[in-house]
Formats: sequence, structure tokens, C-alpha cells
Amino acid sequence: MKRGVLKLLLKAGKRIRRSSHPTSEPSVAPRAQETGLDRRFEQISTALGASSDLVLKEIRLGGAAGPRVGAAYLDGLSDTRQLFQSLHGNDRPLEEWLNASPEAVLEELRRTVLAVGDIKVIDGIENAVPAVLAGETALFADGCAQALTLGTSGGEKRGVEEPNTQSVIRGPREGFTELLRTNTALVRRKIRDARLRIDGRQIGRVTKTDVAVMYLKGFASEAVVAEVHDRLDRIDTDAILESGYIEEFIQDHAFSPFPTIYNTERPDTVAAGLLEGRVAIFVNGTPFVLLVPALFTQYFQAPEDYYQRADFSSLLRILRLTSFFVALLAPSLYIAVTTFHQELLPTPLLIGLAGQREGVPFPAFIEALMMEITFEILREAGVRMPKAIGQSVSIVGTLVIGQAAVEAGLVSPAMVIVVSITAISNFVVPAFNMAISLRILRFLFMGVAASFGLFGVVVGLIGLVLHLCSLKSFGVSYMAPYAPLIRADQKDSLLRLPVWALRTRPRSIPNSNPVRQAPKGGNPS
Amino acid sequence: MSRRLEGGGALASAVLLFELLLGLLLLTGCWNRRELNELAIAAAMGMDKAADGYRISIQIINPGEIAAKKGGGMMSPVVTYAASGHTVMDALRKMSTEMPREIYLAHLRILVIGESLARQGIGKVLDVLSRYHEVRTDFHIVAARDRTAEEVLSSLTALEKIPANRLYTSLDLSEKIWATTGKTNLDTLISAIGSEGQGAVMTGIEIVGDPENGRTVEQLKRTTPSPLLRFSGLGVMRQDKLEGWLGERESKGLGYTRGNLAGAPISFPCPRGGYIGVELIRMKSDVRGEVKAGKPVGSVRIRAEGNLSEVECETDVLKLGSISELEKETENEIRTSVLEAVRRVQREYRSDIFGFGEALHRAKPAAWKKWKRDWPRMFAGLEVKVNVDVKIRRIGTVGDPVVQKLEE
Repeated sequence: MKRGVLKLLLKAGKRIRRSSHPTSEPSVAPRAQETGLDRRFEQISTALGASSDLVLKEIRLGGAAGPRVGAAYLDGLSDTRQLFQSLHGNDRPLEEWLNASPEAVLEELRRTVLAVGDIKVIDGIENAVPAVLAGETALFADGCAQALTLGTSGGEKRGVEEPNTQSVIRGPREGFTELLRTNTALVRRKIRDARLRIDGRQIGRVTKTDVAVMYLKGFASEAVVAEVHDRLDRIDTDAILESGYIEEFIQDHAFSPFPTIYNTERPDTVAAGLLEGRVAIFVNGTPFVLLVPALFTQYFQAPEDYYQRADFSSLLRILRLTSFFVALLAPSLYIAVTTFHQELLPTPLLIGLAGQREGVPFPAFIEALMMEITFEILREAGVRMPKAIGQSVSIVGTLVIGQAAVEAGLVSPAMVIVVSITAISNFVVPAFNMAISLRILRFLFMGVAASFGLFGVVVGLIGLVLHLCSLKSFGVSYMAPYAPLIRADQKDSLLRLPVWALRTRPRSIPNSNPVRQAPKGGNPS
Repeated sequence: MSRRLEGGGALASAVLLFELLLGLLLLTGCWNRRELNELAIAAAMGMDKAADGYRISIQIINPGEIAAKKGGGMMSPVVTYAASGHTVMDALRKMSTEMPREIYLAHLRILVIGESLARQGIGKVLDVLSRYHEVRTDFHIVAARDRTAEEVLSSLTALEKIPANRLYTSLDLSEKIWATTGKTNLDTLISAIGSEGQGAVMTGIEIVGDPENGRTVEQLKRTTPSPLLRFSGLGVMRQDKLEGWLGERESKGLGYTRGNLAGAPISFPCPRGGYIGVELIRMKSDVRGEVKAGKPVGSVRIRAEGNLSEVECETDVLKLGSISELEKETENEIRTSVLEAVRRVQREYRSDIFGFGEALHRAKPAAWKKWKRDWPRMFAGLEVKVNVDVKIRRIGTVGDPVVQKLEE
């Protein structure tokens, strides 16, 4: 039985490609007016410029003599298997179909026959085209002015995989995919609450990219949600191909090295953010979801901090902050101390370093610059190279160039150590975009260290702190909860207290639901 | 959007300004920047009297030789340069004619002053060291006994490649566990020179053997290197002039009054031959100046703890009372050496290196005012009381002396 239906389906599903059969159209047109099926096919084909992936299919309901209906969809974007199964599987007698008007046929199809969710009735061909482009199927009945669009979006897509950029030892292994709906579903699965809101919209005059704003009503501040909508509304551009486009359009400070919008590949990070009153922005076509407002401390917190024990997580956070300073300052401090403040070094160390530098032809600054740039080149090459050789080439490159440069007397061994510890520390920072800002600032600090010594480094640090304190992300101070100092939020900033102690939501992020849980031992109310 | 477009002109000029400021960075010329391999790191400095001023010698570290992992030993780890000049700076700068690098004094470990210069007075040469910004104040100052500082600086040492380093660490160590030497750094020396109630001391250093041999690496290949550098005794200064030397026992006596001899061994003879040794492990001393019957009186209180370190005679250390006997003997020994030191200094040098004057100054400022002009004479006739309290805590890992077992 089932096989027979399929066979029938295949036979009926004769593809009509307008480009290949330009003359076949007028011969099969008993009612060749505006609403005739062939006219419809011609219109939609013209609108899409006779694209080769456009599929136009004609089906007769109730057998070979039944009324004609036609489906139009884009090959690869739509999953039409169910649609055709239900069309051919209907067991209404032929007479019933023949007696019905085209409008009644369409209504009958919509109401009972089609086993497809999300059916809309539309007027005119101009509404059918965007639907077809979005992967839906347009269904026409011969002679009917209206048409149906069926939510058949589907086709090939990447499955839910482990995120590449933010991996954890302990914690969920799922990451976002390129499909917006999958992504929102991943979060919804974690937060089963009616207050989870998703506001959809399309941005991009050409790409018409689906963008969704997700927040928890009653948790997120209304002002922040409104601000996000307002900023998204103001975007007027051709194309949104990745959430990075949105980020650049809506971020507060375009010319700061520091990111003021957080991005993540992890549904659990987004869920945690939403529960703290943050707002997430999903963009179709990328697994990177934006999270606002973003705080400076957030970039040093890994999702895992909340899955491992509190003491361990607190130590890790301190370690990350230490690495932050090492990655930022190690080369500049080395330059400053060895070229300006030799008296700061213990004598044996000074002699050791001086011995290593014997015969090195460049000043320490040039030496450091050379090594840092070499490392940046290797690193960039490692990212761009095919995966299979990328890693090995970068490791070999570092070893060979480091070793060879020392033996050739171009750099001192101590400098190789400084540069490597800097490079490794840079990878400790969990957020990639924060790590990038470190890489930029490091060179700046090396410059001031080489010109002014520790004095320059200190002045640079003061400038850096001033800059950081001036930043805002969607109305929230970037340095909160340190500047302004929010005492209640210290429980989850540099240290992380046990989960039962995190009774209130962070006040750094405006939210309208401050209490998270009952005090320890108390009854949750 | 429109705001951004309007801001385009301002943005462009901001970028231009930034680029100009970047250019400024290159123009600074890196003020006072010195690479490590442009420095001649001075480890030791010597000062001697010369016909027309001073002869300054500098021991420069050869970092390539010190840090070399292999192939070392070919060159001398240090190089000593010397030059004469009317002033110290004169001489230092004159050295640039024979040296490829700039002398860097911040890592100076030791300053050696030739005996003839020390006897003449060192106040003038210390000025440059305390004034010059590059010099720290944490190096030791010693006096070369019967020799010139240049000869001391020209001697290589075994074990420690940098002779200045070897002097620095061994002075540290010997002060702690042998006690006849004393650390003197620039600050204490200058304040002692300027003080009326506190005289300064400097540890002496002597060369054992022919100094000529010490100039080559060859002599280090022997198991008993010759010449050797050795600290010996303390030099007593009156104001900024070296007056003379204290012997071993008197140096120790001075050390006791300063309370810094923890770790020093004390020995005294047994009633029937042999010696008993006590190792002090903790020590506290208190120097006071008082006025009694209208006359200044100095007193020293010493409290110490020690362990029995060796017993060469038949004494039953386990017997009740024998330990307190030993304690008394130790106290006696300490008291005698302190008194000997005080008497010798009072008689010969008349410099209050014990600091009774300073103590009196603190305790009785009014009385001190009266006497301070005449303090060297007053000090010479000062009555000094010494009060010692020693506790012996441990007798070591055996009870009866080994000698006793031999005889049984």
C-alpha cells in the first residue's frame, strides 16, 4: 500500500522546469486566466529568474481526472516528503473533488488533508515568493485567487555538536548550530518557563536574516529589552551574515579594544545569562549567540565555573586574572626592567640575563617585537592552515624558530621564555574576543615600556583602567561590580561562592527579579 | 547611521592625530635606556690613597663567562680596572679609556677601603657614594689590612666565581656563625661617623699568600688556592679614621654587646684539661647608659640560649647542677670577653663603638648634652657593668662524654 502511494507520488511529481519546457505551457491550459495554475507557475518562475533549484509540481487530486493543484518550492530548502504523502494519501472520492469550487478545494486541503504544520493563506503571487525563498512551499489550486504557504522548511543542516571554541571538562557538550530554530529550542529545553520570550524579526534588505531576541520576562530589565529592540530597529543594511555584523552595529563603543557584547556557542551559557536578566540575540546562520549587557569580569568566567566545586572555581578565576596580567604585561615588564631598571633585579639574575644577552645584536624591545610578531604569524597561520597540518606546523614552527633564533644569537633564551609564557597565558582567557584585545594592548605596552620604562607601563595601566571604567554596555558599567563597587555581587566575581550562597541575582545587571533562591536551609517559596 | 556619517570628518582627524602622536613616541629616543649588554656590572669597588687624590679600582663582572654553560674557564670571570683621579668620579670616568662599557654601580656588593686611606679618613670618599643616584646602600664595607684595595680586588676566589660575591656571602655567613666579623653598610657607617655617641667598626680583610698569583685563573685549579682572601678582626674607627684592629676575642666581645652572635661557638677550659664548647642559638643584648652619682655608667645586659656542642673532659652532664655550672662558666666567658673588648677600646682607641653614648643620649638627654663634647675622654674612663644570663637548653644527642667511656 505504502509503496504504491510512493510510486504514484513519484509519477505525479513530474518536474516542470520552465527553462527546459518553454513551449509545454499553453497546451495544458483549459482555464488560462490570471488564476490558472500554469499562469501561477510562470509568474513564480519569472520572479525567481528561472532558477534551476525551483521545483514546480503538478498533482491531480482524486486520480488522473481530478482538479489540478500545484506546489512550488526550492530544492534543498524544503522538506516536502510529508506534503506529497498527505496529498496522495487522501481517500476522498473523485466526485467530491470535482464538485468543489477551487476555493473549497484549497480550504479542504488546508483544513483536513495536508499533514503539515504552519499553513497560511495568502493572496497573490508577490506574497508567495518570499515564502518560497524562506524554504516554504507555495500550494496553488487551479483557478483560485488565493494560495497556501506550507511550513516545510528543512533540508540539510549540521547537527548539534560539541562547541569548538568554549569546551569544558564538565558540563553539557551541546553547542548551537547554524539554524535559528534549533538554537532557540536548545535554550527552551533548558528553561521550561512560560516567561521565556522570543521576539523574531528579519534584518538585511537582501539576506532577510532571521534574528531573534530572547529574554525572560520579569527577569530582564524592560529598559534593556527595549534598548536592544531599538538598536536592532535602527540597523538598515543589505546583509547580516553573522552575529558579528549585528554586534558591530549595536555595540556601545566601536573604538575600544575591549568587546562590550559577549558571544557564546553554548546554550547553557545563554540560559545562565537569561536567568541573570541578560538578553540574548540569535542570528540565523551562525552558532554564535550574542549576550548583552556584557561585563568585564564575565570574560574571565568560564561556564564550567558553576559546574565545578566553588573553591576550585574561585582559584581558577584568580589564575585567569593572573594570566590576564601576564599576557598583558610580561614582555613590557621584561623590557622595562632590563633596559631601564637593572637595579631591580637580584644580582645573580642580572648576571645571568646579561650573560644571555652577550652578542644579541638588537635592543630588548626589537628582540621582543620580533618574537611576538613571529608568534602572531605562526598563530594566524595555524588558524588558516588546513586542520590536519595546522597544529603540527605551528608547534614545529615555534620550536624551530625559538631554538634556532637563540642558537643563531638573534634573541636571548630569556626572551623566548617570556614570549612563550605570554603566549600560553593568553590562551587561558576563556573568551576569544577578550584574548584578542589583550594581544593588541600588549604591543602598546611594549612600546611605552621601551620608551619610558616602568613609568610608561604604570601610566599605560592607569590609562587602561580609566578607559575600562568609561565603558558601558547597554547602560551597564563595564567594570561592575568593581567600579561601581557592588558589595553584594562580590560573591560571584573574582571568587565564586557555593551555589547556595548566590541567593540574589547580580545587581550589576539590571533585572526586575532580584531574589534567586531561599536562604540555605529555608523552604523555597 | 547618519550620526556616524557626519562624524566621518572628525574621525579622520582623530586618526591623524593618533598617527602624529605615534610619531612622537619614536622621537623620545628612549631616555636613559641601556641594554644589559652595554653595562659593565661592578661587583666590587676599591679605594686607595694616591699621590694626587684617590686610586679607584673596580671589579667588573664578565657575564658571558659566568653564565656560560659550557666552554667556561677560558677567561677570567671578573676583570679589575683601576685609575687615579682627584675625585672618585674623576677616576671612575677615566676608566672609560680602558673599558668598552659604562660602569654600572647599582649592583655593588662590597666596597674595600685600603688601610692607608682608611687611616687618613674616609668621610670624603663616602660622600660620592651616598650622593650618586645609581649606588644603593646595601653593600658591605671592609678595610684591606696592610694591603691596598686594588690588590684585594685583583684576587680571584674559588667556589664562587665572582670574588665580590664570595666576600659578600662569606661575610654574611661568618658574622652569623663565627662572630669575629661584622657587617657594615653605607648607612650604618655614615650614621656612625656622624654620631658622637657611637663609633663605627669595619671588618678587616687580608690576603694570605702572594697577591701576584691571585690574578690568574690558573691558581684556582689547585685544591688549596693561594692567595686566599680572609676576613680578620674588626677595625675600630674614630670618626672617619681607622684607629686600629681588634683581636679575635675582642671582636667577639663587641659582637656580644650587639646581640648578633647567635650561632657563635663559645669554649672554655675544663678544670682538668680539655675544653667544653657551647653553641649559642639565640641572643639578645641591651646596651644602656645611666647616670650614677653624677657620673655616666654603661651597662650591658646579655641574655642568650645555647646548646652544648662538645665536651672534651669528664663531666657528668646528666648530673643535676652540672648544667647550671656550665651556664655559669659560659656567662663568665662572655662577660670576660666583653670586658676585655671594652677595656682595650677604652685604653687604646677611645671610640665608643659599643654605643654607650647613644644609649645615654636616649635615656638621659639632658645629661648627654653636658657630656657629649667631651665624650671620647668620658668614654675612656667609663665604668661598664656586664650582666650575662645564659640558658643551656639541650645537651645534644648523647649524654655522657665520649672521653668518659674511653676511660672506663
